[in-house]
Amino acid sequence: MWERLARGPHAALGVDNAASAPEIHHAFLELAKVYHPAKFARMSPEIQKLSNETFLQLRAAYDQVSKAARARPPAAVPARTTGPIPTRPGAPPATPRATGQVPSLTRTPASSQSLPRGAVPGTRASTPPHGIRTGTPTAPPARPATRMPSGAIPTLRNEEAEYATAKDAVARGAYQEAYATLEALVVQAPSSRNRGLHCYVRGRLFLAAGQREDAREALFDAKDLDPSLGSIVDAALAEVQRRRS
Amino acid sequence: MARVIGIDLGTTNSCVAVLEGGEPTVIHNQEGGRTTPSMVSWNADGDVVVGAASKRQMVTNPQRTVFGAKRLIGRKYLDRDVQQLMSRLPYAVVAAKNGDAWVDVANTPRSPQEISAHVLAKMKRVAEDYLGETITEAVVTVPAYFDDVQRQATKDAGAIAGLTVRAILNEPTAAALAYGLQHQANQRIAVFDLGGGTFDISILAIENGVFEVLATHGDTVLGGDDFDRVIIDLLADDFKNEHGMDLRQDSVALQRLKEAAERAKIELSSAMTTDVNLPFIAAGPAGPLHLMRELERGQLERACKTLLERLDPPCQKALADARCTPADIDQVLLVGGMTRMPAVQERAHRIFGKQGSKGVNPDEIVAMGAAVHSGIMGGELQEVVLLDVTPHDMGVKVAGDKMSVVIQANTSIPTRAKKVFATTEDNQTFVAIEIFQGPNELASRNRRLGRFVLGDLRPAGRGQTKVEVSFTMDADGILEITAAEIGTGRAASVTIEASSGLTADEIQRLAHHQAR
Repeated sequence: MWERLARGPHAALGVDNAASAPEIHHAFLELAKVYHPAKFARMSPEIQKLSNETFLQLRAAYDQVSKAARARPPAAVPARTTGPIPTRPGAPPATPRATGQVPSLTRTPASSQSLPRGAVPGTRASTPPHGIRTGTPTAPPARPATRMPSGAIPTLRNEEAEYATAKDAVARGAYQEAYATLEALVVQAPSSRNRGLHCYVRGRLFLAAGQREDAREALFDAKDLDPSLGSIVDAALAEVQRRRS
Repeated sequence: MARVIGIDLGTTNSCVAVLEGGEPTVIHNQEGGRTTPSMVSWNADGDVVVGAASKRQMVTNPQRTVFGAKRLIGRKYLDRDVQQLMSRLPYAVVAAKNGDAWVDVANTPRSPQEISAHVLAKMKRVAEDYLGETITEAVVTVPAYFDDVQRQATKDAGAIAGLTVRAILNEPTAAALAYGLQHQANQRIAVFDLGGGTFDISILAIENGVFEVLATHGDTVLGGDDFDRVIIDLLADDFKNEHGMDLRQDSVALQRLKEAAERAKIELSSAMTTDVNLPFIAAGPAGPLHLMRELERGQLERACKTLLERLDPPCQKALADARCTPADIDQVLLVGGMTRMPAVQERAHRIFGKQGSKGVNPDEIVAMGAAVHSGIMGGELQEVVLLDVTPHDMGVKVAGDKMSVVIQANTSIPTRAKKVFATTEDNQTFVAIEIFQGPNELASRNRRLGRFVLGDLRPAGRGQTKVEVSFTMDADGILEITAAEIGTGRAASVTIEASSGLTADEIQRLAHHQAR
């Protein structure tokens, strides 16, 4: 296992770079049957420690690979609107990089464990002696500016107008169109409202592509990011459920 | 390899099971029961009596008969829940030197660990009689919402009873393991576990033999005892209005009331009315007084309304954390004796939109699951594994008593997480890192697990020195914490084995004493 882990997270899990989130999950579960520390609970403390470490690495590989798979744009689906499918200039390739930071579109900072809560510069309340506080300038910004080649960023006319355009497209069921608008919007204004709608549209696109598990993830993310989307998210989730049965 | 037994150490009843030919089997006790009351009595001559025999003398020997030790284990005397509980117990709860809640039995303070150990030792003997071999290892179940201190205390109780506890398993997870092994289909199940003292809700996905816990929530102070208490109050209040006497002040009368309340509650699960009949319950100015009345199911349900309502929030939170809607749940598994109450089943039905499963024995399934887990560890069940979660947030106290969460509740374990912290003072030379567990944003309101110091920091302006703190939690929930100064690599680490309040010496002494 160590050898596989050394060859990178995809090799560790035995999946290829294009594997879908459910495929990755399945691969992880099969490995867990063999490498979970409970399987070694009656062996020597050294073996227990080693098995624990192996499994932690396996989980880290799984977390990395599945996060990347979920951040991937939904598979292209026939747009409901007429006209060409809008593709964003300079969009990242469909296959994620195997390593490194994958910009998390789908996680709130609060649920991301690498980002400390309250990592806001200038929050320096009066503190007791020898206390410690959260907050670190070393934390990566929520969206690295290097994600897209310079010049490829569409100029943002007006955040509110863009959001309204997207919302209007959503109302018409033109999710591809809404997605293109929102992809650009969340890069420049990653507010939880904008990201929430972005996730909702991703969920809709996954649903249309028949990727139910991905759809669920995205829809729940949408609700977490913007609770006011609750009712339309619930309607979409009910649709996911109908497809299941 | 020697066998490992599975023990459900319950608030009210305990049960032991073992894996035979890949199937969990519940073992009868010497009295023929499949469950054993979790009760321990000390006779006048100092003999210890456990189980049904102890329950029989509850009325005649109330101050020296201890039940529900599980509600005290790993808790502090000044804990709000303990203080509330105390007023209704016929035996005396006292503060130990370290502040823990202990029980005073005939002027001898005894730890809940020691009391629970007597129950565990009884279960060990039950298994040994059946199997005809010495047993030294066990899987013991605890409520999913137990914190680390309560878990460690349960482990210590095992050690006192002469058992190496190979795993502490969550009760709802255990139930799911036993159920899932019988019904091998990929599905999502909600385990709704209302026992004698605690309520747990867990949502699991079962996929090709892998049991993955998606979320767990609960209420550690909601259980059958509380429903009994409501009935006791109902009866005692009426009696007080009529006769001007409070039966709850007399420990013998209270004990009789408790028994009658529990019986009435159980009868009202199948009947619509029941009679409560307690002759000579008190002595009045004009002779003996009796308590005789009829109790209707509707009366009980109205009186228990607030308790029933407390079942909702943990379920909603668990659904949200598991990213499930009620429609995603294929099966609702009802566990714990209290789920026999029709009003409780109705609640579960209303929350999840489907009937709870029939065909599992809510009193035995947890012990059976513990036996299944022993098979996972022992290699008998190669194709099965369990991925459980940690039920509580874990973090570090930072300036202003804030809790900075490092491992979030419902994170799958084992897990590792890191967080960077900065100094708050100019030229700060050390940081004290205090570890807490619990849901509150204020660290001091949570359970404190330990503290350690990282010294010899490089002098620098405040905020410039950074310390990376790493939490590693193993599958048993044991936490190892490392802190390192970024840049210098100077590090300190500590393994937080939550202390249950007993020292190794004390455990050994008690174990030696019980073995005699």
